[in-house]
Amino acid sequence: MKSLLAILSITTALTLPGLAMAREVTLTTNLKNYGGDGAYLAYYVTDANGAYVGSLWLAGGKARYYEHLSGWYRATGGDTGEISGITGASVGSGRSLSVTLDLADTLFDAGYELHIDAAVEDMRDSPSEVVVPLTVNGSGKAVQGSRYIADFNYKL
Amino acid sequence: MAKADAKLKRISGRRQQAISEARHFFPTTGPALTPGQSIQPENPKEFIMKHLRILLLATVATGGVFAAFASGAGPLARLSNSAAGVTGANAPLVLVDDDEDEDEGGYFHWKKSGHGHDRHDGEHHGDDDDDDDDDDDGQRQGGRNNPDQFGTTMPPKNGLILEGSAPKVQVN
Repeated sequence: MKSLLAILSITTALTLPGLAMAREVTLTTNLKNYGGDGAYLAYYVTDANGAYVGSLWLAGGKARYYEHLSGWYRATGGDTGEISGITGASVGSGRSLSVTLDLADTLFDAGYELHIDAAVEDMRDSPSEVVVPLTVNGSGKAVQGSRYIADFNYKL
Repeated sequence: MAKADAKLKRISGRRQQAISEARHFFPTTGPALTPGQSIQPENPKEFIMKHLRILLLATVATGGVFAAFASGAGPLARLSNSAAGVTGANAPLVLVDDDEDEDEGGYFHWKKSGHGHDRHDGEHHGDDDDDDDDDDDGQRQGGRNNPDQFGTTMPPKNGLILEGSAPKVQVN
């Protein structure tokens, strides 16, 4: 009887974690009033070694301008397959973009970093303008950008 | 009187026949209950054990289903592999240099065919509107196709985004 109860508890404990594989994460980017055209933004992830892992979002629909998102472009070779289905319009000066994605739990507290490249027509490229480690404790903490991005935060 | 007796005998005979037929379909396996007696399991422990076994089997089956689902969601397991494995066995490791000087990014003019680079020539191009154009500049310039916009196809299977999930976007 007791052994059966023990086995039952173990199997239940092994089953439940399978339910939590991904979580909803909202990426919020507020742009400065930089006085230019819509900004192209590339959100991508690198691992603890700095190697590119994958893309999360790309704001800006014209592939011929992607070379100005130089960090992302160098890592992917401009492969649009990396951003198929996760592309939207560019973001205007002074505006904010919120993207909500179901991201794998294993992304957090494992040395992964989120990069944001920014570029604006007739203005300087800004590769890796924001770089934040993906951690549970980092949720909700705003990080300032250096050129076009006023601040960025992600919420779990 | 004789007729009544005969009738009673016929009824009782039929009753006996019905009882014997019922016993054929519903054989009794235990002693008949006496009035006031209730059915109780012979061994309460066995009763509980039986139900526990059923519960255990159900949990194991559920765990097996989830394990199968987890193994099916293969791309998410790729995060445990090295970056070289994720990007392809033969692909070179591409490092993203965070220390790159911003000035190296350059001051660029975004190429637009048929238009000058001077933004003060009165031809102001809308920011978000450009991306909604249906022009095929990408095709003219080396055949580079524009990516599929969100909502038209599912996100890539890169092990980061849950397969089958759709992003939600809001611009303010």
